[in-house]
Amino acid sequence: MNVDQELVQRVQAGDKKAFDLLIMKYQQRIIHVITGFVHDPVEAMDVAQEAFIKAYRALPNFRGDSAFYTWLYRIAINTSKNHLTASSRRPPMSDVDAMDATNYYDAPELKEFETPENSLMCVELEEAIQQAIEDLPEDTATAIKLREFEGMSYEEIAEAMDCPIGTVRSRIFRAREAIDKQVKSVMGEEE
Amino acid sequence: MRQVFRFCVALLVLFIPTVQAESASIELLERMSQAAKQLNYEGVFAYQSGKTFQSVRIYHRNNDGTESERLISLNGAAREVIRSNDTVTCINPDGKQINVSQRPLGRGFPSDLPRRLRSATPFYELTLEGEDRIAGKLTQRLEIKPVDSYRYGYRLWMDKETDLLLKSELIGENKEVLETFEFTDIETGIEIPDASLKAQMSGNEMVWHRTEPGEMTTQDLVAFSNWQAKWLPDGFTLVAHQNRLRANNGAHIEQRVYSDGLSSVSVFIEKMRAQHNHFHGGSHMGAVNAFGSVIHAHFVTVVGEVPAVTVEKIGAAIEYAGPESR
Amino acid sequence: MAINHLELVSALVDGQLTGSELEQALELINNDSSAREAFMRYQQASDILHGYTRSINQRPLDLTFRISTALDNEPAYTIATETKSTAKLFRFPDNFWKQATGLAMAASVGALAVVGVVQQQSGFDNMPVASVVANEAPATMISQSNRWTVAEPEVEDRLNNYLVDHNEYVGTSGMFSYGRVVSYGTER
Repeated sequence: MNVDQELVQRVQAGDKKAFDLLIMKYQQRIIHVITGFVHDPVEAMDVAQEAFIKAYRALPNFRGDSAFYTWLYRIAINTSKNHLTASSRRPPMSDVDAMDATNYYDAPELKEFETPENSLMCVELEEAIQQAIEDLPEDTATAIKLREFEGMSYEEIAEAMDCPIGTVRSRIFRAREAIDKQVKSVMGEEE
Repeated sequence: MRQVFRFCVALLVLFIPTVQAESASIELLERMSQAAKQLNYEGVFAYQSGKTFQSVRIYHRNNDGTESERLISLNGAAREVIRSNDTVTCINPDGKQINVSQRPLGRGFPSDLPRRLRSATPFYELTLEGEDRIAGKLTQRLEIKPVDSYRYGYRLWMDKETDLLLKSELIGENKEVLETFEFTDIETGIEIPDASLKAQMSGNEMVWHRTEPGEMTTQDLVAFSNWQAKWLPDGFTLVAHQNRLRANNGAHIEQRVYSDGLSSVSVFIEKMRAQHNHFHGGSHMGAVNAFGSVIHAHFVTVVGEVPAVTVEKIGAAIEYAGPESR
Repeated sequence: MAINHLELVSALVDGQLTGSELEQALELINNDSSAREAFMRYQQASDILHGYTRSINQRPLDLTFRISTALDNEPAYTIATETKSTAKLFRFPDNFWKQATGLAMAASVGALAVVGVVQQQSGFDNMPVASVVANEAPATMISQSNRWTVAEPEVEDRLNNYLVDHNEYVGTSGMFSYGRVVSYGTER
């Protein structure tokens, strides 16, 4: 959370590169959200691009009293709706932007927009990742679970697991590497 | 024990020449605190801190020992705080929220202050200053200077007739005024009708949050003594201790209050639960500072109208010393 | 690439870096394509775990090139913008108060001068509010805000509850102390 604010401030101070990292961090989620409205993947990418550009332009006015992602999420929803209105298609839902972004991403209504081929790939990937986590040594698995499923900071994990923060960091890194290896094998890439 | 002895010596050696004056100052503070509890009054005071300027209407009634009080902000959204003997209700029409907090049972309004005031003597220099007119009333000014930089100073103006506090300034290390409360209008000794103590907002369409005193079992008490402050500014001791339960999310919160008799600091300890965010490091709201950290999978937050350095140092010195700590 | 570099990238995905390490990681992402790719793979795996799956493709998608190309003609923001935004932004790095204390001291001395003059002239009750507000430097917003300087509403709510509970024990100006609660967040 602090890192987002740091990045936002850097962009506000003229560092365009910092915006790249915000894109890298949130592009998947934003496209996921947009795909709920705009089914065509190419169109969805265009809308995502438009949303990020709008966000860049609006950044000097970003007050920081909501999290950056919540703010970006609202921009993405509005951009999607505008896109549908402009191409005279009706937005599938109304008043989505009033909802809390963090509660929204897994709303069941949105699942229907998945395409068969990517959902097959998703299932495979999800299974691969779960398997990779199961195969980890217990400490490493606990660390990544506390991070990804419980949303704890490294400091909190260190408290919970009674170990130094550096150990948490390297455990999580080892978990990521193991997951990465598994994902690569599903994707058919060489390791 | 040795500390107490040292303070006694300090008190004797340094304060003998001023003992008379100090004693008068402390008596004034005691009368002030009694007046605030015992009188009926209605008035408007201004609260100023930094950019904030707010006018607040206050009603206070003491009906045969039963205190009731209502504050309502006069600019912007009409926020209200209503205190009765056993609850504090905060109404925020903006956020459509009502928070109801059960007060510790049988205490009435807090201020066991008079009892504690005398213990503050070694850590502040009290001087009776001149007279001023505040809200049309003649007041006695009292200057309270801290002996170190772990607490703020105060400048207080008490009504010469009723002893009621009519103006109060919180003074920072560089003598800057951090916060001012000042009556612009006040009436005392009047009847306060029930209607004045009722919320102007109806509770419909509002979200209610309730906090209740948690059940204190002996086991809890033992568990609670596991939390300690390894460092406190000289003169700060544990003056209150309670367990609360936030009804809407089931959070159990321990509050430990440390005070030197004049300034106080609360340490809140709340078990960390998944998906909860917390803050690390310092934050502040006007002149109130807070310092947050995570200790032994608990959110530990120190809050007080003391300098940032004090809440930070206390926050860093809170320790869990219970059975599962290692 | 040394393995600890990727560990840094992993910590960056989690947003758990500060200070020189954050600096180092950003440098790495900007200049090292393998670090950049690792970031996106780690991020993708994390997104999948969180159910953001509709965007999943053969490779982690990357919009950065097309967006940054599209932004080429946009002006980079200037430092002046930054000063303004910093004042508005409520952030709290770990060492926040250390930086802010200096600022608060400087700022409140400025504010005090203004308030002091007005008070002497007209007394508090007739004080023109606007003149005080107008004379304050933007920097005072961060140091003298009457909102908690935290970013998340949930944390703000918790601190407000604490403030109410603490008020019960505020001694000296006890009768006024709830004035803080009813004034919360009302600055203009």
